[in-house]
Amino acid sequence: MSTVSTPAAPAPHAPAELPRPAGLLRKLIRRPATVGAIAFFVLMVLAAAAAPLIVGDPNSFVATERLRPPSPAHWFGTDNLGRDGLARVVYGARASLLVGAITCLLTTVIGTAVGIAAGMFRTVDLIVMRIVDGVMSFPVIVLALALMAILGPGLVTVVISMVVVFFPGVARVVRSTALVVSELPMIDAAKSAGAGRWRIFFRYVFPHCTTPVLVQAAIVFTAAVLVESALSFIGAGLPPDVPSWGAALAESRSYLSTAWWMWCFPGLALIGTVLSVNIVIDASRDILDPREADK
Amino acid sequence: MLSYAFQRVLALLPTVAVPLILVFLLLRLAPGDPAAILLGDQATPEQVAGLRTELGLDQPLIAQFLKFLGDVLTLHLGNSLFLHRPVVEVIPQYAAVTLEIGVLSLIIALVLGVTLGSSASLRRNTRRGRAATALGIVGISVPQFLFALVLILVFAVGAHWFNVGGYVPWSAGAWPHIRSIILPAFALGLGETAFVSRITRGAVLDVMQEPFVTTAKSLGIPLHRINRVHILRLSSLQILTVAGLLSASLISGSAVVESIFGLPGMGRLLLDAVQRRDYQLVQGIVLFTGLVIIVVNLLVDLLYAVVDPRVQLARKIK
Amino acid sequence: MTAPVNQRGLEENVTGTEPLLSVRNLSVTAGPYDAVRDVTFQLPRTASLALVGESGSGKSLTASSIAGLLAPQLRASGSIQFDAIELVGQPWEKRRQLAGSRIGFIFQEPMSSLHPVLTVGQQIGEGLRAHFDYSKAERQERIRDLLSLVGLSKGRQIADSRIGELSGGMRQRVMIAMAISCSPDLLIADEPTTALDVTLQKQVIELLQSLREKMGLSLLLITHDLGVVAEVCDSAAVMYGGEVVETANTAELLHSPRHDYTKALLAAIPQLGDKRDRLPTIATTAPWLSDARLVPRDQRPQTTLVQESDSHWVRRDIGTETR
Repeated sequence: MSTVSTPAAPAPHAPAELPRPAGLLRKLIRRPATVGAIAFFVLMVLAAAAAPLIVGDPNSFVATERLRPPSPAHWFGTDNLGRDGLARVVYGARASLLVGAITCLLTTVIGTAVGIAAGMFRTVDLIVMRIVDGVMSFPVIVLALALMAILGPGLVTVVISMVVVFFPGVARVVRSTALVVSELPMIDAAKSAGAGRWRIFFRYVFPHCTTPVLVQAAIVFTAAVLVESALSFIGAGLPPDVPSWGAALAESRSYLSTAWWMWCFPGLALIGTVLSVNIVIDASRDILDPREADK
Repeated sequence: MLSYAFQRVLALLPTVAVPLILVFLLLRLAPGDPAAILLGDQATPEQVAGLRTELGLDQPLIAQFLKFLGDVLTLHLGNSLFLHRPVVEVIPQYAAVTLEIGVLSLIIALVLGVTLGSSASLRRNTRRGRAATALGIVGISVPQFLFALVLILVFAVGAHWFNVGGYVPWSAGAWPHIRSIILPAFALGLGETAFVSRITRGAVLDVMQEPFVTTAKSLGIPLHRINRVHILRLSSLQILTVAGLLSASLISGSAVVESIFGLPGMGRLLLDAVQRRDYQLVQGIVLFTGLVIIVVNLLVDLLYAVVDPRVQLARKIK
Repeated sequence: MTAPVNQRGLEENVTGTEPLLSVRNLSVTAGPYDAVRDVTFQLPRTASLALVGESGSGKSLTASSIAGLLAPQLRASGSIQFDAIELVGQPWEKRRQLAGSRIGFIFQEPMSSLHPVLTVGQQIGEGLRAHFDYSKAERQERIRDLLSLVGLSKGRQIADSRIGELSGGMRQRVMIAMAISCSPDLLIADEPTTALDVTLQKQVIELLQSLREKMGLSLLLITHDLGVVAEVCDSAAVMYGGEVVETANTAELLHSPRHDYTKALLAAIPQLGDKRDRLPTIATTAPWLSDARLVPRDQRPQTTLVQESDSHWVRRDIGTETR
């Protein structure tokens, strides 16, 4: 399983040079590979959003059209029930991207809140970070399955288990940025000018957290997409009537060599989506960490 | 060394607390009566009432938790509803399978990953190095089950070297047993290989720029020796750091891989238990998983001290 | 006459009259910029030469290019002749054979230039392994000998320690021990005393001198400390803005400097009993070093080194070859 959040998210050195999101975007656009990746991802998002407009019903099937290879009528072929491959891939994008986005959002909000609390209050830091460390090393799928036993399968269970395991990553990034920045002379200057704790935090420390948190959020997104597809694959994720890439791949298991289009297209869509985000993440890290420049 | 070990155990206590509390709350937060849930639909009211008192469900939460702790420590984890055996009996045999495959895939991931990552960093301006870097980023974008499917397609269906699934225990022969676990081990391991290779690449790139590497060059030490002795020694620290994460990932992945290959491991046991609402078993598995994570983290911390003795001298600052 | 070939397959100069190190028109470039330009000086056998200059004058880069330790983005051109072997343009594999065994390098910052986790013994041992075929026992004995040669008496204990456990002075001695471990002919010391306090500085300088005598080493000393130059070095080359502006025997350089920069440098040294309120400072006379620090080479003034007397060379603008 491609992993969650690398613990060594770029240690924020020289925060004074940390580009804000807009600056980062500008620098990203200069790299051709990154532009391609962003374009692919945007395409995927647009396709998912416009799904009802551009493809047919992913659940409707024509029994006589089972297992047809790709053709002008069915660009991605049909599956074992006769459902249109393209529709299932596009609607699958909807499901995966939605789960990814929701998880990402919740994780970021909770993680940032915890990170802020830990960065500002020593006692919170001591207690909470220990718990957080304990949680982040727990296998996410085991947690998802255990929660499923209580809450039943479905979107909520999946999202909750992922948020629980992924929010520590964000919290740590916020906390370590806060710790580094609070050592800077400008904080001392602000304090001696009479600035209060909250003001210092939100005016000085917090803005520096934006870019690292964005990068971490992107990492969470990729992890969420991968975990959700794995859970759907083993039948512990989204409900079976919701088309998802994981479920489509599970259905292709019996037809690996006979109907390659059943696993190939959902697989490529999944890999492509995650890869495009990973490319952007890598490029961002290169830009943020000047030591990486090895040309 | 001993005092360091003791320190590390103390530091891991909060990590122990999390699965414990999770499991405790699991049952009590579920809709319905915990005792009824545990005993399933077939239980009589008397049985349910009996279990209620036994579990102390009428008492305040703290008392319940203490009782629960006591049960855990004395390994009174109840019986599996469907397997009709004590949980503590059921888990070990399934765990053995998972651990065996897990360790094998860890070795695969480390060996392949470090090699790939070294190539990606030390030869980063060559075609081989660039390919290795690209493989790394593509590899982490592929879900484990996809690796499994492709491996099955190529080696089992295509080449007929291996079976598509099914587990053969040691008792049936060494070679058949190995044949049955190689593909699953690779399916798990390849996914992590990419991750390890990226960490290695980053770590080696960091160390390569250090001044002491230049000193080694000034002494005329050949590059391959510098890489092996001077650089990798320090890079391995960063790799160790993610070993804990790696194991969590492997355990997660094993649920999927065991389900694909039909292996009687803990992942599949958990899946079945969840689908059958076998709560005692689920609880036991979650606790066991927590235990494994803690042991692994402890091992990693101890290895840390061996590889970098400086760690024992200074307190680790989180 | 064919020169004899030693066991490393490199030609050796037997006559002994040629200087050990002869640098001619050395330039180190990064794209259109010259970080070091037209550096020329000679170092005879068993002699010592100082490369003197302020920070950024290019002295460390010159030293690195002699040792073959330039960063990959930099290119060296010109000529560096070590014992009649041309070094510029050689691939690393060839230069590696000289590294350690014939050219030793002492780095400025021992804390970061020594491996943090390997023990002292292991690190020195690595250098020995690269050039010699000792058994483990022989190697350990050699390590102890080296450590006592640099004034570290508790050899066994130190060999088992890591550099974090040693004091600053001890670390510098370990650095020196490593540099001389394979008995080189040329020792390059890059500001070996800069990171140390005054008492340690004296000890290190004395150590270097005694090693020179014992081992017949030639010494190329990089420094900005003119006092050390006066004490230790036979000759000196003053560098500024990446160029050698003057080179001469030390005594002559200090008493009758000819280049404006050298004169300003000497005038800026505070003297004991000095009654002036302000020390003279050196305004940046080199326009190519102003804000951007480096200016493309075609925009720099054209100068050349002129020999104004026996072994005294001074940089003059082309066309103004008078004093």
